[in-house]
Amino acid sequence: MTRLKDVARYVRSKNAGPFWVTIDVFFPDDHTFEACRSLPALSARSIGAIYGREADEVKRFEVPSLRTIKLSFPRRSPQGAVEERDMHSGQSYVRLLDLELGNL
Amino acid sequence: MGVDWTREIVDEVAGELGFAPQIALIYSEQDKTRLSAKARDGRITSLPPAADYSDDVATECRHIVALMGPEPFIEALKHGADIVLAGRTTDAAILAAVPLMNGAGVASAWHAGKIAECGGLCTEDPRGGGVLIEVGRDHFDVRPLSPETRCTPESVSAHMLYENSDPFRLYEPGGVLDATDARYEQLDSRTVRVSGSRWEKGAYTMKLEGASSGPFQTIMMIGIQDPDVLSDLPAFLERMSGHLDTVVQRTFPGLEGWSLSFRPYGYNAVSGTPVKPDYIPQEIGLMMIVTAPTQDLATRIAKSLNSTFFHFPRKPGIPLPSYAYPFSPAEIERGQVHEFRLNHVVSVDDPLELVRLSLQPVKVAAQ
Repeated sequence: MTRLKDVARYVRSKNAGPFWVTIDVFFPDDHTFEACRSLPALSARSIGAIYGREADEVKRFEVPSLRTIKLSFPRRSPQGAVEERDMHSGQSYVRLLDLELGNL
Repeated sequence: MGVDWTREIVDEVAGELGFAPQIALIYSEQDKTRLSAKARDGRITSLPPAADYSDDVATECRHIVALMGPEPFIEALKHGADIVLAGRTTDAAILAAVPLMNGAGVASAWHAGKIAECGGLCTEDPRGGGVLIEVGRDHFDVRPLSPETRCTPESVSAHMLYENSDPFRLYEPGGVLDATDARYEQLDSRTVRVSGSRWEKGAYTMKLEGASSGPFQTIMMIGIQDPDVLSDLPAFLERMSGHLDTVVQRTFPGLEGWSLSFRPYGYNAVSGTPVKPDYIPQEIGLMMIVTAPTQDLATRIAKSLNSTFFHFPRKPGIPLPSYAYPFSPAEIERGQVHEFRLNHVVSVDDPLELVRLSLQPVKVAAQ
């Protein structure tokens, strides 16, 4: 079973304004990007489920020139709320690293 | 606020150097009565996931600012300002201002502003300092100031992803930058030329920002290495949390608006989600956050929990353990909770309508 961390070159997350988080998944080459871009595991529905979001709350973009998939969705609570654990969403990406992609 | 504080610094430095520059002060802070009228006129729109604008939300925010476009800068520079001190603008607007004033292409100026907003972050080595942008009618060129690094089509185009929910479309006061068809070419070994982006002119809107000033927090941290505690942390934390809640209710009967939160660093403090099966850390830092209506109350609650937090046993009836406080006194006053509340745009008839601008000579302190 291939995991995202086995094939991605770099994965990062950050706030996109205080109400949204955005995750960028960079692939190392065109071949890997093409093999991954249509995988169900990297769909808006699948990623939304991991973060407790409906598929239609997740904005999903493919940027072929950068071999990148970008996923953006609303934060659970606005930046700085009483229960804040990660002010800038800098560690939100980590739970995607072990995402199972199937057999590539 | 920030503008006036910075102005005092400029006055002081200018005085020391014997300069007397013209200073433009541009304020982005908003008058709530005026915003209220805007809302009644249907000129304030909420952006997802925010609720409708209301006076109640505005009242919760100590300050509200409107993100300015480039026009106030252009206005100040045209009136002869040597130094412009401005409040909140969009990140790209401040850099787009001078190219726009000098007649550069609108899409190129905005795109250049976005790419250069974080200096060297659009280069291969962000530690190399800033970048130089040269903006023309239908393209712009960008290169690092440091000779040690370079811009590449990838390093530059990747910056459109940064802190941006949409990698192609950037909403700005007065329009949208659409970089879907942008071309990024290596011009020489260190310079990238960018062309092909478009500017879609739209209604002039300014984004509003405001954070509420909520309750206060005091924190305490203990280190735990005891393997018996660490072997079943979820149960330990649940019992401790329940017991400490009871202690607060007993010590401060009838008190409302307080809460305790536990963050086991080294376990799952960052995510708050379950850990992998059989994961047992070697040690953790357990942070307790006390939230209360005032700083004094938060600290009094923390102090009242000091010894229970320090000695809480993993099960009843065993000799009391002691955990590792890294500091004494153990409690740390963290301050007030500030939560972003506004995620709205306000529509204006003129880019300067909600902006206060004043141009004045430097104040030289009396010797």
